[in-house]
Amino acid sequence: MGVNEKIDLAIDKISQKIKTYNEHRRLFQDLFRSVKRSLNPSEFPSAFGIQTSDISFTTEVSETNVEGLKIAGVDGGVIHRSLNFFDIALIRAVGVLFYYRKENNPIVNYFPEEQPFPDILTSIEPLSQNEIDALISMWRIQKEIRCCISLVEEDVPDIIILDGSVLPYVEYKYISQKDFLMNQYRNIKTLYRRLYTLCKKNRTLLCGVVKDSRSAILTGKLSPLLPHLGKLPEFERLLKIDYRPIIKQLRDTDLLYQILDKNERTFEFFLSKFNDESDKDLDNFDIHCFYLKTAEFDTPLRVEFPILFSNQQETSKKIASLVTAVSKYNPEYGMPSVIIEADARARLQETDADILIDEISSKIGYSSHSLQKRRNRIPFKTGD
Amino acid sequence: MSEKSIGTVIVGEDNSPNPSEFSFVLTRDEEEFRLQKGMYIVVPSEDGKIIATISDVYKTNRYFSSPSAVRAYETSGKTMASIFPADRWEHIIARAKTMGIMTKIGIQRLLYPVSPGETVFTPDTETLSRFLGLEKTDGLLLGKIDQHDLDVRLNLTRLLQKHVAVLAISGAGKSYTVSVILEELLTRKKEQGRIAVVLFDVHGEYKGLGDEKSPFHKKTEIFPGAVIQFATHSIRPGQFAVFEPQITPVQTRELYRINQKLFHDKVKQGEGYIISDIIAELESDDQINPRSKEALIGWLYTLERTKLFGLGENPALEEILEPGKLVIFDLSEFTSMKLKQMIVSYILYRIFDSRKKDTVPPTAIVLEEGHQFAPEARLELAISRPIVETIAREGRKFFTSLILVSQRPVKLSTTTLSQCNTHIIMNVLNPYDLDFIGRSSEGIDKATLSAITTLGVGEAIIAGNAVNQPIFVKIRERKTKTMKTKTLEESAKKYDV
Repeated sequence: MGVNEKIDLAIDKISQKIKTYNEHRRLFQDLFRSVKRSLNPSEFPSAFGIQTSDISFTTEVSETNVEGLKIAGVDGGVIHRSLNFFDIALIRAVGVLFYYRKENNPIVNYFPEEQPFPDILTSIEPLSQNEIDALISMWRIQKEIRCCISLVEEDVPDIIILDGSVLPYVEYKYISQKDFLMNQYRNIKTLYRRLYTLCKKNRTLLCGVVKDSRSAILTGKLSPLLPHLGKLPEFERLLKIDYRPIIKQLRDTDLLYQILDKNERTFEFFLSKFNDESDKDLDNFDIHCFYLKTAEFDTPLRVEFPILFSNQQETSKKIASLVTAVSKYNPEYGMPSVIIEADARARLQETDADILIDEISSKIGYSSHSLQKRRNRIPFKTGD
Repeated sequence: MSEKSIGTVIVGEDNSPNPSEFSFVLTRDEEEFRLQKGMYIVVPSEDGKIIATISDVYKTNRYFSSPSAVRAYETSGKTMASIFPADRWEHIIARAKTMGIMTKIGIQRLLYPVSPGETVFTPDTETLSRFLGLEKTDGLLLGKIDQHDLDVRLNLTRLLQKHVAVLAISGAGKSYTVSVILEELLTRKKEQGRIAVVLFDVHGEYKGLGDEKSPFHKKTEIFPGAVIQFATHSIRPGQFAVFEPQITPVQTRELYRINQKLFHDKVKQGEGYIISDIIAELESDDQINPRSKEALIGWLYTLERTKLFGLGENPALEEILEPGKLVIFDLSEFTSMKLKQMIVSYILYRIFDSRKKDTVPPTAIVLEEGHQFAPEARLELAISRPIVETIAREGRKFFTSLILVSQRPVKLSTTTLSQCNTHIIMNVLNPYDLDFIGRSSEGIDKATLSAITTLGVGEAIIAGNAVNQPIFVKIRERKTKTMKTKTLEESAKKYDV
């Protein structure tokens, strides 16, 4: 078989796979779309850990007026360079607070400032690539959460929206072997707990929005539930086929893109406990989430939130309304405006790190080239 | 005006900074400092001050950089400003063209780029004046560089010694600018050095300078065309051939012989002679070929009919040309181009001759509608061109300067325009004229040339010998009144009673 034939065959296989995936996705989408208002998740058996009080699979988000409200967003930026002897990272986090006034453009405040100088962090620990990635991630999270804390302390917003999860997502297996990394992790947990407590005390809503999520949290929870839904006529057809491998392939956003209409969300459901084995004696916070479609032609956002000062139904209702209110303007891009602004302010340029490394090189008498890892020093690169 | 920091050099997308240009971001608020195209800026370096001009200013804003995103957001019925703090992302970027570096040994070409991160300053008055070659006190005050509130005072010698051309379309302010130059020449003090000024006023636009209410009334003398008379004996045979180009070289030689005789018989005896005397001598002369004689007499009769040739010269140029004084020859009543050209030719010959003999003060000659008097045309249609070209070429040695004014530079004698080392250019729209200016004006680059079409009334570019770099000038206000021009409606009503 010639090269061309091999390529054609590979393309045919891939195309067929995509076609099949699309057919399966369509099957589930049509099914859930048909029952999205009749299916009552609060009646799902408790053993499946849904823990929701919502009575329909999807809910229309009620409109809210943001006048007089203070809505904040926090995002971080990081540039990392792994060099021969050490790792260096430039990290900053920016909080923006939009104070909406009647018939006026919002007043915007920045925390700690509009364009803060980044922290320069270095590590000379002998860490693996996975470990160093986890460390940099923890440094960034710490910076963001500290920024949130100062924002709440200084200007008590009605809601803080984080770019990303509201949980300290770190690959435990990569940090558990090193005390140094575990200490960083514990610091993060302490900071999160402090933020939750502070928000609870000030009655500030807190949530994190995750865009382009590749996760299968919801489909993972729905998969074991499907046999129990067989009594519904819409599900009968499904039970006649082997649906389990199909639903395992589906990501949440793929499933929900066609199910949710604009300004609609899924039922809220339990995501995780904040506490783990190491801090089970401390106050716990339950983290819930829902998927929310803020833009007609954009994938739904996953909105995560801790249950802080009111019940889960009330909290999810308020958060959905507020996130929609600041995300609904662009039919093709549904991120909250506060996050877009915070992202732009926090983003760091690759050149910032290059300049820093050049300066360090000149101080220690090495050429910046020789400081680079060997794989980054390949003399002939593709495209040269 | 003192130096103040206004921006920081940035890395541009067009391989800048490089020795020719760089970009910088304005670091001051727009309300605090208005960055404008054409402004001069300074970047200090170890070798001296790098001077640059702003060739372009533009604004950036990440929120408005994607048309589709703007459209998408604003279809929600809300403005971008109500959704995002878009105004906080507006940055003003300027592109600057380096002009040179002021070192200890003078202004030099910049051969290396400025560094990103360098601070950009506005220049102080002293630096800018020195860089542009402007005078502090004694020069001719023509106006201001608006963006810097800097007086444009031009050195008299640098401006006039190698002649000036004032070029613009009709109505752009040529005569106004010439009036300003005249006012400056007339207000000079004795100790500053004063020159005589002669102006040929083809439209009667400068009568106001001699008006009783004019501050220059006593320094201005106006001679209507009708009173002008040539001293026939001072006209050389070659000059007759210029006035009447059909006179052949052989006839010119015969004329020379006759003139020699009349010079001996009359001028040496303290008398003059007129054209009829030449004709009488010719008629009684046996040496000349009869056919040549007949033709020559015919041409001389033609010249006599102009009534310009007499025994003596009126006005007597040696008497009327004085330092700090303006003599206006009002040619507005003449319709014949030939007559106007003859007058200009005669007076210019006489002034140039007198300057060579040093019997009159250094003189500046203003030629309004210069293309009429030094056109790039056949000699019979360009009687005054030879002397204009001679003065253009040789005048600087004898301090006889031309101020050539024209709305059609393309029709001007190339020799004459190329000898005008300073160009004051106002609005010009004709592409042929623009092209001609571009080719004949030293120091005018493409960008400056393209700016000529955008100049407003009273705005000018001065380029060439009078300044070190081309400059944009807002011409100052005149001290004398402008002649009020009637509207078409007003003129029409007069005849429609």
